Amino acid sequence: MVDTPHERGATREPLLPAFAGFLALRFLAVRRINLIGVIGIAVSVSAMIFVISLFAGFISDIRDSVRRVSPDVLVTTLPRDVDFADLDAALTTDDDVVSTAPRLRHYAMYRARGRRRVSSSSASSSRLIVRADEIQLVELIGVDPDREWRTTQLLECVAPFGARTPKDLFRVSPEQVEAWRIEQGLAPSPGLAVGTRPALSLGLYRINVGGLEFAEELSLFSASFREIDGHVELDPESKIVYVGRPFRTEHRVFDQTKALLDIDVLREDLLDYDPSFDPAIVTDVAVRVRDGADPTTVARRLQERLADRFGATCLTWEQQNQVYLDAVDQEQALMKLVLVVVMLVAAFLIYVTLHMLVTQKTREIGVLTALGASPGGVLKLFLFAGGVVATVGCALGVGLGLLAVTYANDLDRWAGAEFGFRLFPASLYALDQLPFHLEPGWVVQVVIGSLSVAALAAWLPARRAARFQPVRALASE
Amino acid sequence: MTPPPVLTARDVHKSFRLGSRDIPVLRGIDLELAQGETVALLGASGAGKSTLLHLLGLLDRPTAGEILFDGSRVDDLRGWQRARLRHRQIGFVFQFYHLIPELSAIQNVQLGALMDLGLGAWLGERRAIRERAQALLADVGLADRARHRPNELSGGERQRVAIARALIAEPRVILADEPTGNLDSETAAGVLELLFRINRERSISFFLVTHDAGLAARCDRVVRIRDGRILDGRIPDGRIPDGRIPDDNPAAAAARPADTGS
Repeated sequence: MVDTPHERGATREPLLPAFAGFLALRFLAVRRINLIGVIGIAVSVSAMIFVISLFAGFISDIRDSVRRVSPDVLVTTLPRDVDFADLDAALTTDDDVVSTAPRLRHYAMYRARGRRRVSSSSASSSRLIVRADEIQLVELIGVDPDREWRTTQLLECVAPFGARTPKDLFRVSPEQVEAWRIEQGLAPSPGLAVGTRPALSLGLYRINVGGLEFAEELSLFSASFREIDGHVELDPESKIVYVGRPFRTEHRVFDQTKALLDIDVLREDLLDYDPSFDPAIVTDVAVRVRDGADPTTVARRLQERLADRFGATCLTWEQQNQVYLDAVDQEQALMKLVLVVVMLVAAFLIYVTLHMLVTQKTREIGVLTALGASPGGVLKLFLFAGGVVATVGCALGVGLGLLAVTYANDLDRWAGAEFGFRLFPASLYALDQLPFHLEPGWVVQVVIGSLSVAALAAWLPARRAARFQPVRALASE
Repeated sequence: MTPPPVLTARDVHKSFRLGSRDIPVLRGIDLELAQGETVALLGASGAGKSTLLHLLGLLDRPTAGEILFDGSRVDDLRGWQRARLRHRQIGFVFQFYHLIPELSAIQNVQLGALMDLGLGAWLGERRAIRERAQALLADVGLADRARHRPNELSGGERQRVAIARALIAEPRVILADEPTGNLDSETAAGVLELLFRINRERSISFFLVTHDAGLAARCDRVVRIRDGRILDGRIPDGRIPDGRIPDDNPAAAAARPADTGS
């Protein structure tokens, strides 16, 4: 006997009716147009994984490079005549301050005195070559080598070239200078070649494009304003220094615009500082905080302590580079927005292909209903079809994305060697290779996001199918 | 005690809305279908035959009146409950077969068994369902055509596949909408033989919508419908009627076999 009365209390239909799986796969298999949805999802997922990994790598590298050139806390906006000893005394009273290092910023120009080898490894960088008589502007950063070494990572970026102490990083020996002169065909230095010479440490990029050589003579020009009898006058200075050890922080702006030298050379030779009665002037102080201490908290505390007396501003390493880091974040956000649009296009493709499938299968939907498929079952049939398209697309996309991330550098190098075309030229991006950083969490998020968007795209036509009146569906042509 | 009819229509009305007007199609249908009975529904185009078939098959709801299955009202069940009842108790055979073109003959038959089965349960029963589908195809004479797609089958073969599909869920009622209407006379005769054999062997009730007086004459009872009303064929509760063919249909009367008795 039929259990009709029991149908009223019967348990609901299965979560995924067998016919949905049975039929969805066959509907999809015979319609190549469904490949459009699969390809759309695969392309968008692989693009997301590639671009997000690339940006994560860029950002990670940028943060590392920013971190290298930025102390934990930087004390800045100091008065002109502040004495570093006073500042140091005030700073080191804080329990979380481990060490401090004075810095003095000053602008200068230099002109190389040697002959230039006008050559370049690539056509794109030849435009950047400096002529022999060209004058370059540079921002000098005078550092106390020993203190700086203890306080920041900056001097770790300077090529040691046999230097035994931090101070050696900013000196060249007379023998090195004479060797350069001989190589250049110049006469030996006038007078006795004794004592070390002050060296200017330049970014490797600047040295390469300028064709500068180690121990090469540079004429360094600078000027400062001096108040005499109520009048402000420009006081120019010049000094012979030598090309010292190159540095490379990977922070492109820093490497291209800054030069490091001993703070005493800067004070005494270019700013006419007299250590016997002038204060040990600084423009900034780098501060290293204790491991485990929060730089933001320390910076806020130091700011409160120094504001009244020195009018100083204390910035964490992130605050020092806020605009730069924000710009990178903004670029990443924009790129994600573009990728979301790509994903929406892929979802639209799924919607269109499923909508077509539902339209073409109207009569079959009526037949299924006559055979006992419920509206919910019909809904699940088309949701399952959309799910299969999305899942296959995601699986392909993840595979393609991982392959692209793994082999992009090889492909880029191969394309450069075979066709002279680099997707990411090193001269433009100052990168040896693309800095991919693959985060599994991001891949999972991309997959979940793609499946969710695809499910939404599939739900609309599936709902339409479930709402068909079976009698009308059966009558459709 | 007499068992209740397997399917009953009680004062069934059905109207369709056309713009601001209600167009009545069925106007108070009373009908009963007993277990194992074959009933032919005769009527002109637009008389309401297919509408009545859809209401009896729970594909649509009446505007007024009731549909009962085994004496219990079923037209007011929820959508999924009616779907389940339809799957378990009612089979459909259509004039145009309505096979799924992407599936082979045996897959079309199997599909009839999958409607209320979960994917997991199906994986467990897959072999048994396939064997049952193969046996049904053999029963309708298509054992060697199991792997053929519908477009590789003749009209008669397609209809046999559709009949096997209707049988796989072991329904108690089969509703057939002009099952031979799209077949030549020789093929139609073969299909009819099959239907009546199934009726005899399995005691399945058949409700056949047809224009074919010859087919109607072979049924236990003929019901005529005109303008949404049953002209004759009203039966007493629970009894298989005498299958009288109306006097105003001489062609059908002539076609009626002598052994049906009247």
